[in-house]
Amino acid sequence: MVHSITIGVSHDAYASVLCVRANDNRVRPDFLIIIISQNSDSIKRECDFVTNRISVVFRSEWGANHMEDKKTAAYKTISDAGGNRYKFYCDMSGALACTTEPICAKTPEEGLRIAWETVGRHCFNLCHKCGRWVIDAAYNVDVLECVECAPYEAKPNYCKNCGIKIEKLSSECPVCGHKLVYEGEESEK
Amino acid sequence: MTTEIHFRNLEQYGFGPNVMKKMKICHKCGQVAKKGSFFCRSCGAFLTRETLYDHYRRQHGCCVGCGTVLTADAKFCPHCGLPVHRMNQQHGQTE
Repeated sequence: MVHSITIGVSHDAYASVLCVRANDNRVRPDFLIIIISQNSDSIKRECDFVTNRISVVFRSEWGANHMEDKKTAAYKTISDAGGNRYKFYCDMSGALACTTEPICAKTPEEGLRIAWETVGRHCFNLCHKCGRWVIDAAYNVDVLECVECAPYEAKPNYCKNCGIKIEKLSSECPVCGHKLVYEGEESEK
Repeated sequence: MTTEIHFRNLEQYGFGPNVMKKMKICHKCGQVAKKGSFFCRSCGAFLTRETLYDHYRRQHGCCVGCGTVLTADAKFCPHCGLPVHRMNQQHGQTE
């Protein structure tokens, strides 16, 4: 249990490191968030030994955060009489979800925005964990994440952490306290 | 509510494993096809036997005892209780 938190920030030429430690002075921090200005796998490897819980966020100068939700699903642009058509694909399965009518717009970006907001957006679900847009079949609607992040789970007969037989279903294992069923990224924050 | 009833309810709205079992994705054009289709009706490409559900099972790994899809943190199968390390041993012996 974390009683209080000390936050430290260090800067170097390539990375800003936000380090969060529990106040019981454990050597290993509870988790480490690294924000780096360049894609540097070496920095991540160096920090791997420090903690098993690590989130790496890549930033290009002050640009978009790559770990944010994707603005649209994967798409293809097809030129047609009267404008561009847009085909939107599931980010997980690659399934073609929808094709728009020709859209006439001043710029390709505006055309894409119109296509997404009027047609594409309604054919997909946003995974709250990885930020990808997936079709209904590839979406775990119980926890609002894609089935790659969160496979469907049935009522457990055994704890998946300690293996004890579960007589009475609850949210946590009575022996080890492990969550019996994943309830989504939001519930763990 | 049992799992089967829950999944049947989800199927009505296009969600759930039952829906994944009935569909294939064309690897060329992304067209969704029915499980029994051999060719894509959009581009004519040959479709493999693999359904979206098969792809989903491959992503996560399954219990060798009962076929339950396992989460990444599972050390034991939540359905039959079989330890995951024993599954790995069995898989290794098979290979």
